[in-house]
Amino acid sequence: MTKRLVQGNEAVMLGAVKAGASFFAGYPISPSSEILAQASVYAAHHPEFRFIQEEDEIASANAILGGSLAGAKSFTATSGPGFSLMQEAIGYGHKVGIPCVIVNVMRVGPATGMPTMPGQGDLNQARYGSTGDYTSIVFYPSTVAECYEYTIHAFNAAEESRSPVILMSDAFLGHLNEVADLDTIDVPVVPRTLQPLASGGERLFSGVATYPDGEPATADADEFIRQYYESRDHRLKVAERYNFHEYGWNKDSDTLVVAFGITRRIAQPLAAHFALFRPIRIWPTLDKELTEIAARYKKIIVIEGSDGQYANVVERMLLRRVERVPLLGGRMSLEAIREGLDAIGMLPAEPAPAASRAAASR
Amino acid sequence: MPAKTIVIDGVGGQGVKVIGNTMASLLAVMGYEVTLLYDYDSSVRGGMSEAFLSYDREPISNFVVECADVVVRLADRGPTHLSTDYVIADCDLMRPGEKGEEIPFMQLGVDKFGRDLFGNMIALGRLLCVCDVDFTDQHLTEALPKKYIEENIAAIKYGYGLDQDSIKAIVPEQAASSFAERYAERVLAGTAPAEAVEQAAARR
Repeated sequence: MTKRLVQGNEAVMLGAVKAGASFFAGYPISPSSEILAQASVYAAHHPEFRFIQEEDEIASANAILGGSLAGAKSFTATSGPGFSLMQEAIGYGHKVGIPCVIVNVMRVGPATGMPTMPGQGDLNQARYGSTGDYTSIVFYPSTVAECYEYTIHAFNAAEESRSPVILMSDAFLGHLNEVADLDTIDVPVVPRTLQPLASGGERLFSGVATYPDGEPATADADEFIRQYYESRDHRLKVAERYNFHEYGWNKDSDTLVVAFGITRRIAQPLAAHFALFRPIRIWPTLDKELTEIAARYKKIIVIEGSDGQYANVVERMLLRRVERVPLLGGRMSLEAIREGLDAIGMLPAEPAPAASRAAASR
Repeated sequence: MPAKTIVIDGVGGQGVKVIGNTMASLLAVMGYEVTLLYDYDSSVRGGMSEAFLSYDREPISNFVVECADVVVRLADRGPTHLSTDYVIADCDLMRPGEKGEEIPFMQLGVDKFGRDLFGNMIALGRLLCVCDVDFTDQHLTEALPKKYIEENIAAIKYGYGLDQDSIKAIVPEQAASSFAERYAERVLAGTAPAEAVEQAAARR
């Protein structure tokens, strides 16, 4: 056992190395820059690991697509407007079927916004940021140890789904230092099976709709639909193996709180009053799991660092009213949550029993 | 016992990260569960810089400190929503009605150890004393960077050894300086920390 202080961004880098990553391309942007910095240092001491600081995020995202096609498990890390710039490349990766990992350490947007403040406002962008229909697999851990663990899962899911997989984090989680024993986290690594370029055979890497023989299929709806459902069904099937979530707190409560990432941790002192559902796989949504659990509760509250992005998803999924506690402007705190609960008339009035309070402080 | 919660409040360049990192490392070496979160403004050099540190024998969930057992205040830029039981402040930074103490850490760093940087270690020593953290030399040796380790240990021990009588001797109640305020102004204006100490002290 080697318990030590580890930063969230550092844990992502260590998880990537554990998963077998051998190429990082990126452009520094707060609050993700420590991942880039650590990747550069790691590359300096490990010649098998390649690093490049690109001129911007467009180049970075395209570089990891190229790196992956060339045979390297590849990743990048960014935030805010950098994630926006990567969207076209992400769409290309989905179309062509390129495994890679994009880490988005969320801050308050839109645009430059509040660069060092935590937000959770990129959830929809992580799902719908590029053009057209595609199936994103997205994870969002909530502890430093989980940053390590779910980075490995993200690489595994990317290899299995042959698509860009997104690991969400945020300014608080990325910069959080926490005692963790990463040696105890044992996630089997999915090896690279995709043959690299120039290893023989023929393969198409076209963003344009094509037939298997390479001829353009830009006006053939049947072929497009066949390929679309094939890739969608494959990725949904892969995602099923990664249906990570947490269900806990006071399951006897009549109210279910849905919170993820750092909001789940900040809301912990309310554990005696509410049940909790925490999606770790943010996309595809955990419809089966949440629908089954939500049916046991009279009320549902979504606490999140955006103005209802996930609450809207839950409402549509469950076809019932969902209460919202949006934490905006980087103000991620228990006090802000209490104010939000008070505003919707759902702030617990009675103090929790002493035993529950003790558990809630953990 | 609930987690012990500490906030270190300062401006960029003042040593908030040095104190936070060193204390967190020391507590981790001692086997505590620790969370340390930095919250800072990106807009200008010298903007607010905060460290939220919690430690416990059990894993910690909510790492955002809103009610601190102890605040170390090197400048008064801290969260408006923060409440605290005890303040360890550089001079002239206590607010009316607060319980705590004022110590000219940066100036002591210069006076006792030749550099303002050691003021951070003196503040850390005092913080460890107030929090009743029972560390050993071995813990310190494992937690501290190797550079200046002897000086840093000496400064931490100096701060740890301060008691109310010695604090009063350093800072007579009638002669509290505005050193820290001037220092923060200099840092905010873009002056390097070492020069800011000299300029702030010169106006005393």
